[in-house]
Amino acid sequence: MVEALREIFSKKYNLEKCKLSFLKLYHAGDAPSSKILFFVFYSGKTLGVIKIIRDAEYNASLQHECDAQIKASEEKIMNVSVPKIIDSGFVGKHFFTYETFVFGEAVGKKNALKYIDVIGAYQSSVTKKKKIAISAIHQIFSSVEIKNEKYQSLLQELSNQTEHVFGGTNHSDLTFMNVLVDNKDIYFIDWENYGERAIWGLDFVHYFIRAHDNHSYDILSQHFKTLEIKPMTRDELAILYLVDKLYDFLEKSDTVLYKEVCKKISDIC
Amino acid sequence: MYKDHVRRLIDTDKYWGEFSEEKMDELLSIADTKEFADVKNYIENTLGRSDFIFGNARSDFLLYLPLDEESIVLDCGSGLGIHTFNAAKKAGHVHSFDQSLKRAEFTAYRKRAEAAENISIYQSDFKNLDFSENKFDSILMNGVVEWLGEIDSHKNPRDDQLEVLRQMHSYLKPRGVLYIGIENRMSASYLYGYDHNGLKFTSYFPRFLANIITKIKKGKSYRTYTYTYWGYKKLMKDAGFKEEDVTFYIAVPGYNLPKYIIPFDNIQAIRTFLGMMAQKGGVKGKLIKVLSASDFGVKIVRHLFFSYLIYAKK
Repeated sequence: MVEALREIFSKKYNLEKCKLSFLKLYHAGDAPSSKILFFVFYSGKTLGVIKIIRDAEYNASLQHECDAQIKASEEKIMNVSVPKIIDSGFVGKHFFTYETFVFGEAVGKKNALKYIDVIGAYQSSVTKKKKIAISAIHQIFSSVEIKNEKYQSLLQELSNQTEHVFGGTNHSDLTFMNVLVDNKDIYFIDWENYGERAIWGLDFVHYFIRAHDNHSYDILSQHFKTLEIKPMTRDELAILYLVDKLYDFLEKSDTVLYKEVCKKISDIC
Repeated sequence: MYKDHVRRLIDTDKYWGEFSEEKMDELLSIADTKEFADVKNYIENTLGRSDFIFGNARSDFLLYLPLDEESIVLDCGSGLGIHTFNAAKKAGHVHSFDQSLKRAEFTAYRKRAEAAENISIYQSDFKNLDFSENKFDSILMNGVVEWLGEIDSHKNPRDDQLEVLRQMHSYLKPRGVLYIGIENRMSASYLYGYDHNGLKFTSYFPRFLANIITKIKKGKSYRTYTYTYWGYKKLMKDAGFKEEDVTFYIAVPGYNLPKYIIPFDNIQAIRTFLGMMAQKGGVKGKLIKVLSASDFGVKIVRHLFFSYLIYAKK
């Protein structure tokens, strides 16, 4: 694969083949759908990053990620940066993207809460779409057959809520591992789930919950009492917490049902 | 049961491997009597080695080989077949051999279970291979070369290594590539780890001293030779490869799971990697930062990593 990339890059950008080097990076996961990342160097210069899906069967997910990154940077939907897509194409059967080099480190769990204001500011900058009654969301989550006590109790709690939510376009996997800090610049990476969870505010809640070790509602409730969180009220946060949990539960237990629910909710948003 | 699917070029039956022979027998017995899913379950839950046998990332050295649907590959010392199967997804045909019949049998079982038609399996050592010259586009020797001295047909283990490497050179088609995954003799990790003979520090010692210590402590000669970057360069040259056709990469954490594959000759690439490591902070991070500040520092540090991936083009 590296030889083929060398060929493509030398022709496309008129570079000397022997001066191109590729550093394979570790990217979490060993599954066929996981990505392989290469830093590309030309002599002493860093050119950019190449992303490829391990198994060409999953090309579509990288293509989706590529579109999302382009959209996110074009629409300026946030006050943070996105690695810019320079080019994309195919190496053999594999789709690849070539994007700007970000020399950052993931925020990590230890520092996750230090960046909560940044995430909050980003969330505030995302446009709120249509107002949706919580009953409509509840109905969609109830329409799938999951015979699990936890799922049912989350549903029950959601049915007790009376507030509404708003439609919104989310990164949909915003965690402390997907936020990179490069000096003072903040980058969001891993956009393959972009748009999947279509309710406004879920990015913030998703990040917030994971920063707390995915702890129970009780821990989050304590924060509801003490924290003044700019992008949303305490009640909104409580509802979004339940919705995020329901999404997570579905995603872990049945990918097909999860995708169906995502689609249905996206349609009404 | 799968012995019939293994072409036997030797009739010895010596077992060694990642887990005990009893466990291997149990695995083969499950393979004989149960479904592939049960075999996978046993590997995952009892042996805890699923990624070791079925994973992709362990074979990421394949990314740097020019494999396509026409390629013919030889996997030497293929063990339970992880690289054989991963290479077979990219290549036209993979010939795979191991000295252990049981390991070759497992590979044959998996071949049938996955209907991987483009794999041929042999039980053989290097001496008994009967391939013709100029046959292979790529040859894989992952964690093999350091053990070649144990063949013990020459006084000097390096000569055993050279003999096999020359044999592999002859098997390669013109412009074919020999891949070697191997330890760095001067790796800093040997300060706290063990050499292949199970002893500390012997890889750093002059060979004669390592030999004396191994004889005293283990009752046998020191034959598991590894080399420095320059040592490997010389070894490959003596095996028939031109210096300019041999490319080195650093594998981190090691060649058995190359999460990071770093071009040895690109200082900027190594500095980038060191920069990432330095971001983790602590004393180690600070030390890396200091060392990687100058080209000279990077040029020193690159010789201290645990292992190399070597690609030698015929």
